[in-house]
Amino acid sequence: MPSYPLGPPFADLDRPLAVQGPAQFLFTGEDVLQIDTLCSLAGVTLTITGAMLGEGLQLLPFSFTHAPNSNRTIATTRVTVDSGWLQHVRVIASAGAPLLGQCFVFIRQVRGLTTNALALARITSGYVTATTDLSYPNDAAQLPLDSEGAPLRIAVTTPAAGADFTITVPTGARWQLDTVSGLYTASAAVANRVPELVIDDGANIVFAAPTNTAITGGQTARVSWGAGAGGPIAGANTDQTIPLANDMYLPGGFRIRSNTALIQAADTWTAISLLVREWLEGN
Amino acid sequence: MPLWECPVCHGTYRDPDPSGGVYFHACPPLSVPELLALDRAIVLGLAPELPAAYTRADLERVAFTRAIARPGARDENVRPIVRRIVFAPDPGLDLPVPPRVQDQPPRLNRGD
Repeated sequence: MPSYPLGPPFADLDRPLAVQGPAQFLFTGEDVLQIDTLCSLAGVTLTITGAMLGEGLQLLPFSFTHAPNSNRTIATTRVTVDSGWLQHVRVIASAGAPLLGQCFVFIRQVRGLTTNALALARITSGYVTATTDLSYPNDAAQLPLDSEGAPLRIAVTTPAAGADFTITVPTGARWQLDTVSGLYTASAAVANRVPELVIDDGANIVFAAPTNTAITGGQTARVSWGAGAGGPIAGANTDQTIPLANDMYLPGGFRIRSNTALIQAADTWTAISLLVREWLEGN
Repeated sequence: MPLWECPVCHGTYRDPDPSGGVYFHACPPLSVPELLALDRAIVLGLAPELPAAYTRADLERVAFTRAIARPGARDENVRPIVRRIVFAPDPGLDLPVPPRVQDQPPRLNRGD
């Protein structure tokens, strides 16, 4: 078996020699490990552990933590690791309990420690959850819109009496809208109220789904819109179900709101919830 | 989960929301009863397509076709910024960066 020197110089060899490193990512003293995260949940802390293969086959472990932002904006941590080849790195959620779709991690190799650091490579990327980690090597790299998304119940602002409800898809999120449901309580004033669900991009309406049965004075009705729901259905108990389009993907800035014809000043919308599937687009 | 009240629209909401996510309140458009309660000059300024002697039916018609924004509406959502992965400093980075959250009056804490 031939033996090779552990390091340079190779210049004295009498034939060209290609040297294959023991791993894909070589870090010199100028290269830095960068963790970028997108997260929609408060209270998450990530712990990053790994090891470099340094000179003389020394394994040089590292460990540090990273605190993602909870508002879907990118958070970055850059850490100097020992010179050598990156052997493995693993990211776990050491605090908080993110679901798949709530905390996305990019592991990058960059040169420099400041915001002007030059990105060299994306080592791997993917979602971490309370029970699943992200590892290099072995994990297939994902992008934030991959995976099945996080199923979330979103509680919507309860508007003042006489006002309709509205919610905006948060910046950096992509929602698949599954259901919308709210309790409409009509005051005694005589009028035939017709709630309508409106989807717009902040200005332009892209979808509207009215009820087909009016709510009259003194009635209380649970009004629900659902993707794939049959109907419209007016239940014998005054509740109503109205179908929504399937697979309605809404990017940040789109609004989901009610527009109730003949709403009266003392009418109320309460207990309003959405069921959505959320992915992080980043911002 | 504190309960908050918006000082503009008086809607109430919890932040963080029950699922643990950060909640971003945005005021709804004005409803017809709210438009009826406003001074006519203000309403005509917000919806110039209305006739000067508008009726509730006129307001219903306009509110049905477009959202009439609430004066001073609050929007707690993070302001979008386009980010690019760049190889060299982006000339756009020299431009002033807008605040991530819009200037607005503070929300009112209504307890837990």
